[in-house]
Amino acid sequence: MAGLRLFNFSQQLLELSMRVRGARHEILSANIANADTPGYRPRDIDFAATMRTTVEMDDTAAGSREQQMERLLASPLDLQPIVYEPGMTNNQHGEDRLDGNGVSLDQQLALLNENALSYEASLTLFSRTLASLRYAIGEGRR
Amino acid sequence: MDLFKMFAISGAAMSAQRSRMSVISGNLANTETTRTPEGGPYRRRDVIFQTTPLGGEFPDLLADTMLDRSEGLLSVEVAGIKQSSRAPRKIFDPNHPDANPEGYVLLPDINVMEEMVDLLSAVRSYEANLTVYNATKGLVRRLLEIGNAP
Repeated sequence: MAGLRLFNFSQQLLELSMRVRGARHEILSANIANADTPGYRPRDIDFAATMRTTVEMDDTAAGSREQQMERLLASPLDLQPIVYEPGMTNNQHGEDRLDGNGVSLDQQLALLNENALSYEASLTLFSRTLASLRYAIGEGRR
Repeated sequence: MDLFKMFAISGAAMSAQRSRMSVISGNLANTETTRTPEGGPYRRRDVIFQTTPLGGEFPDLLADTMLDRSEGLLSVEVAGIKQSSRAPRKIFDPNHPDANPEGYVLLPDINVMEEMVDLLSAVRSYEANLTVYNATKGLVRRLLEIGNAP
């Protein structure tokens, strides 16, 4: 059976989303750690945009979308955060203080919790797909 | 996602806030101190925070080959403790043992209210980092449970 693989496309997508969410968790933790550092600018990863550009499949490339995705996931992702400079539009990171620090503690904590919940959601979904796989392996026996 | 890097960031931040708290308690303890080893009244001290790239030997080697890259991950450290240049308060008290010939005593210019507000702000920042630490711990715990039979 050609093209049979253990993990399907949606599981690969879940892995990707957890990796991006994990990187975002790191970035937001670093923002909170630097909430009192003069001149520090908040950083963030745009989850939706990152997923969109990463998942955009090249129709001319060889292989099915699962194979393309497999190649993508096998190497480290290059996740560069956006640094929010003063006066940037689309800045959801709060007001700038006089010392040049742009981190708002409440906003960062809210973003961090939202991100952590989304991470757990992906994790739960992934665990469910594993459970159904285990069900199939056990030929339907519990 | 490098799990232990995240704990290191929150840990460094908590340690930095703790140093800030010790410096503030030092200031509060010395509001009336007129004698110091360097002479003259105590001078108010202030911590300086600076960003620092996360360092580590083995994790970095590993990160180059295996882990997702995201540049600009900065931790925090205490760059130094600065003495304030504020002029001391002058109080007229000729009976004080440290009074100068004109009868004035030089006391540290420490505003207790200001120190208390700074202390509260340090405690809040510490708590925020503790919250992050616990959130990370929760995520890692869930991650380790992946594939466990429900």
